[in-house]
Amino acid sequence: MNNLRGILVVGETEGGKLNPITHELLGGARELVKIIEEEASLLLMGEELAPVAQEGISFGADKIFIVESPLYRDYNPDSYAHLICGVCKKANPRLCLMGHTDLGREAAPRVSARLGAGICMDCVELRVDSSKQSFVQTRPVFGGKAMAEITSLPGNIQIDTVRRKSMSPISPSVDRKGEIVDLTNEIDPPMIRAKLVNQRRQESEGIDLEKAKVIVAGGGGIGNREGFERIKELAQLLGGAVGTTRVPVDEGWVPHSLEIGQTGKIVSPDLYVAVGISGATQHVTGILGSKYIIAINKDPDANIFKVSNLGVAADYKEVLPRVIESLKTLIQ
Amino acid sequence: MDRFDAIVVGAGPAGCASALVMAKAGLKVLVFERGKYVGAKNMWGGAFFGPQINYLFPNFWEEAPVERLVTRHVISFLTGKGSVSVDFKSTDFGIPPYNGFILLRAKFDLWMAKQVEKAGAILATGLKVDDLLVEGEKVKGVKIGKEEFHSDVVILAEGANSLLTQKAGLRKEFSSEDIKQGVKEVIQLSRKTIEERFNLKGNEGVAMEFVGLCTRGLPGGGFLYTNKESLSLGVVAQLSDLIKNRVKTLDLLEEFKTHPEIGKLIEGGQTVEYSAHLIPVAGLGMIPRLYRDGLLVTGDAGALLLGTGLILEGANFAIASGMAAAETVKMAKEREDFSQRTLSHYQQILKESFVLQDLETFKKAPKFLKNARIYHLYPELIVEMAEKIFRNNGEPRKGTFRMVREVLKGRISIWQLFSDVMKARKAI
Amino acid sequence: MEIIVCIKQILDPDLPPAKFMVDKERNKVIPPEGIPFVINPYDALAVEAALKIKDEKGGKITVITIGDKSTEDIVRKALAMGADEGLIISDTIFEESDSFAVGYILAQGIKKIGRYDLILCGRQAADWDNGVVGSVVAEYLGIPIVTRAKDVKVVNGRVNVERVTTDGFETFELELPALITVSSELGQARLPSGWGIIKAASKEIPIWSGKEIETDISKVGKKASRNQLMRLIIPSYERRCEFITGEDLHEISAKLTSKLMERRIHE
Ligand SMILES: Cc1cc2nc3c(=O)[nH]c(=O)nc-3n(C[C@H](O)[C@H](O)[C@H](O)COP(=O)(O)OP(=O)(O)OC[C@H]3O[C@@H](n4cnc5c(N)ncnc54)[C@H](O)[C@@H]3O)c2cc1C
Ligand SMILES: Cc1cc2nc3c(=O)[nH]c(=O)nc-3n(C[C@H](O)[C@H](O)[C@H](O)COP(=O)(O)OP(=O)(O)OC[C@H]3O[C@@H](n4cnc5c(N)ncnc54)[C@H](O)[C@@H]3O)c2cc1C
Ligand SMILES: Nc1ncnc2c1ncn2[C@@H]1O[C@H](COP(=O)(O)O)[C@@H](O)[C@H]1O
Repeated sequence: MNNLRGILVVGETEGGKLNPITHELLGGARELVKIIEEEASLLLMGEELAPVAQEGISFGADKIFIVESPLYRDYNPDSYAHLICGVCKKANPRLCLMGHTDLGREAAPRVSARLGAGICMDCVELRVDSSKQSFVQTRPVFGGKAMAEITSLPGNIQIDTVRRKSMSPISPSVDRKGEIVDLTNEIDPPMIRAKLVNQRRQESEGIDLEKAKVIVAGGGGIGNREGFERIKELAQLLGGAVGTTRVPVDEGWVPHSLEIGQTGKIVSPDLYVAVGISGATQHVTGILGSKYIIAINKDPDANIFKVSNLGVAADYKEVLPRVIESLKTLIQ
Repeated sequence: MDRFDAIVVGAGPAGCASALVMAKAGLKVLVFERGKYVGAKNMWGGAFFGPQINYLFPNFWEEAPVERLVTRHVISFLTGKGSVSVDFKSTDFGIPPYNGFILLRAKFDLWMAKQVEKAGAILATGLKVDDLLVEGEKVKGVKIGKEEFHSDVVILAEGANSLLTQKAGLRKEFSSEDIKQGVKEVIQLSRKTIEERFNLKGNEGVAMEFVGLCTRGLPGGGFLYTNKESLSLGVVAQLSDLIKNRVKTLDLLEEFKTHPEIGKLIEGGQTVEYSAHLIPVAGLGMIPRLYRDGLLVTGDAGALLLGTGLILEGANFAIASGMAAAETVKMAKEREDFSQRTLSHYQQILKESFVLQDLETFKKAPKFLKNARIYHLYPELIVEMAEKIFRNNGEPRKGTFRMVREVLKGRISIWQLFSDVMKARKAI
Repeated sequence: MEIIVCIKQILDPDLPPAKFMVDKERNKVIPPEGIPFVINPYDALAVEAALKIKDEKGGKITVITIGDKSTEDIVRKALAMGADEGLIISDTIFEESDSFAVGYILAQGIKKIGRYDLILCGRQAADWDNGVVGSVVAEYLGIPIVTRAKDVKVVNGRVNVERVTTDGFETFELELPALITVSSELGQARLPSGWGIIKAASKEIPIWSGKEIETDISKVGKKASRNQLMRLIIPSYERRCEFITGEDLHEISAKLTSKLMERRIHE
């Protein structure tokens, strides 16, 4: 594939708006196109895309590819992979960026397999190498124990999924101009072999983890479902969200949508309170963006203290009830 | 394949040695190890002494993951004020067959287990044997959960905790008097730092033993072994004393690490491993019956190890007893008789080998080693003596004997000292 | 049901960070001695998913891995859990293959096996954490795929997959043959039984070479790689942790409370 040009961002929308990850990707793409002096484009699929397209332009897209069809209203592994492939073939980008989201995790490998593209999953840093011919990706490997720096092949399309919160959006401007290209009729209808028969959202109470300014997270040390009531109480008092590690999810104390880490959510609150969490790298990799970390763990040698600003080496059962009581009186 | 000639419980040195010898003789051998993998749970100080290992694995140092050779022994008496060391270096120790090997159990056990598998034994890890299958008087196999495994003979090589040995009615519950507890840390340091700090070249290594302050004067001691790129540092103390004085071995180890003499040896290192283990060292008196119909007991499970105080030897005893058990099973197989009568041959082999002979020689050691003066008073006396001898404050120095008298005055009678020395001569 | 499960041998992901070491010159991980490699935990779950189907519907499970002879240990582990056959694909020409090459080799191996209704993989290998190979295999074989399954059921010649998304669950129905990748939410992999281990120990495990699976050598090995690893480094995230101390738990709790008051969100 020759004549590769520009960077294509695969957009994700919800409720007629771009998802934060798409803002971030557009911001990242802008940084890169500054150097390679090419365009950043955005792919949007689904229905009623005009207002979203404007949002995309204001967040930094030079060009919007639109595929407007009910076929793409909901995510489907077959139709999305097919569509992204089709658009890549038309747009011929050097680099195709997706979020390391449900969509990206599944679509990126398939698209790259079909296109013969290079691929890097879960990138946290991305730059153009000095020759301006390839990209240099940094991604955590071995559960966050190491970082790998990987370069793409010059002259070959590269597909990357990018971890939440590793790129910054630009401040949006309605004055930005962009071109809208409608590809709806240029893409063959997809062949769908995986049929969605049921969809369930997990009830997430309260604040969205990825947006929360304060998170109180409980780990395996909490011991049981009841213990998480303390965690919820503290989170409420602090105006924050509840998070967790893999262990309580595996034990069935809390739903998996609260899991933070490599395979869960990536968070970056101002305050992260880790209670009964050992600090395994797979978890820690998801909280590194936190401004201030407080850890409560009865084992003074627990790894979590290594990444914390403030530590309490004690049994949470002794400490939390007291803290919650005092907070209650102080706040009321 | 629903019956085995022998089932071995535990893949430590004793279990591996017996399984290897039996498998090489063509017997169908099954080894159970409760650790997730062999060596996962095992620990020791760090050195293997004597030639047994060479009988089992000829020229084993060429293949096995040996950390270093013991080319230097240091014995130090520690007090709050200072230390006196006896430093023994022999060039002979650096020539094959070497006198001592420093090994890390995790690596070494795994290597041994591979040899066992290569010899044709089946190794099943992650499985804890729950019970023996007994019919009448005869042991017929083992039980894990609901599963049963049948064999002509079972070899218990389950280490110090020896619950099955107890269940088999061969030993009573150990008292805390008979048990020591050891804790150990592996402290990572660069190869270069270790070689500079301990004055070592190539594969040379040092085994250090410490007596005195490292156990707050309780009977026991400290040890340090140089690995390739780490140090093994630990303390051993009598369980009963730990309980009586409400001391944790972990705290002893932490204190030990802060002693200036130790501090400078481990400076800059990072602790990468921590473990604790029991040691049954009460000498001959503690050894249970080692056999019954269809059953043999080896290694630590049979309390077959030697703690002369200065050196803890267990792995060589474990290997020797494992080999002896295997030889006995080979003979029993020929006779197709696995009753006590044939299996008693095991005791005979042990008696003729160093295993029981050494234990006989040092049979008074355990009692002698409980003498609190060794750990408390004597290190102090020795260090003070040394200080007096070496201190030159410009005044004419007193004769040695007068110095000795001054140091001893009011703390121990000459007679007591003499009697301890005599006991020591007999015991160690 | 003919089920194929792709399993990979990896460095133990639970290895403490202190034991994780990297050869910076050669950009390679130095495996610590004395700690054996393990089966990728997600692949153990894929074996578990296969066993559950077999428990219910019967059938045959073949596990397949690409690696050297040492991968025998994880193949035996899967056999001990209850898989029926094991297979190793091994060749020096495969060294330093990327995800696409690995996917290609697996697909070639699977084609040679011939019969399959369902292929299971892990959602990702917990060493390089890519999560790519399953999709590549599906593309090469031209079969449908759904990733990150928490439940896989075979009903009336189709497969029903419940999978986890970031905020919930989705159920898909696929025609067989299909490829499914399995996530940790599937539950726990069963432990091998004693007899399972004993039977697995004496099982023949064939080793197929590149030639035997008709490898196009331009598609494998380092030169076919679409990316290049430039650097592998161990990052340091350490912060200076100040510990709250105090006479008793009252004092400690009080100090913690005031720290939290400082930093809480005021509505
Ligand atoms: C491939 C892979 C991917 C993974 N992905 C993730 C991921 O995305 N997110 C994730 O979180 N994990 C993930 N894990 C799991 C991870 O490796 C750890 O196992 C997990 O994070 C441990 O959770 P924990 O620290 O809460 O629990 P534990 O390991 O059980 O630790 C509990 C801690 O609580 C302390 N404690 C116990 N009781 C008390 C008490 N009463 N008071 C105070 N402290 C107490 C203990 O000292 C201990 O430190 C993954 C693992 C693998 C292999
Ligand atoms: C701190 C310390 C320092 C030491 N230093 C030295 C030294 O420097 N030199 C020396 O020679 N000796 C030393 N020893 C002693 C030496 O470690 C032991 O004597 C030796 O390991 C005994 O070998 P073994 O095979 O009998 O038992 P172990 O090595 O204890 O092996 C027993 C095995 O059985 C397994 N097991 C137990 N129960 C079951 C079950 N029910 N089912 C399945 N598997 C089971 C265990 O997991 C273990 O792997 C030291 C010991 C300690 C604690
Ligand atoms: N070398 C291999 N041999 C067999 N299966 C593999 C191999 N590498 C990856 N896989 C399979 O592909 C899945 C995803 O791997 P990866 O894309 O490397 O994260 C794993 O969980 C395995 O099921």
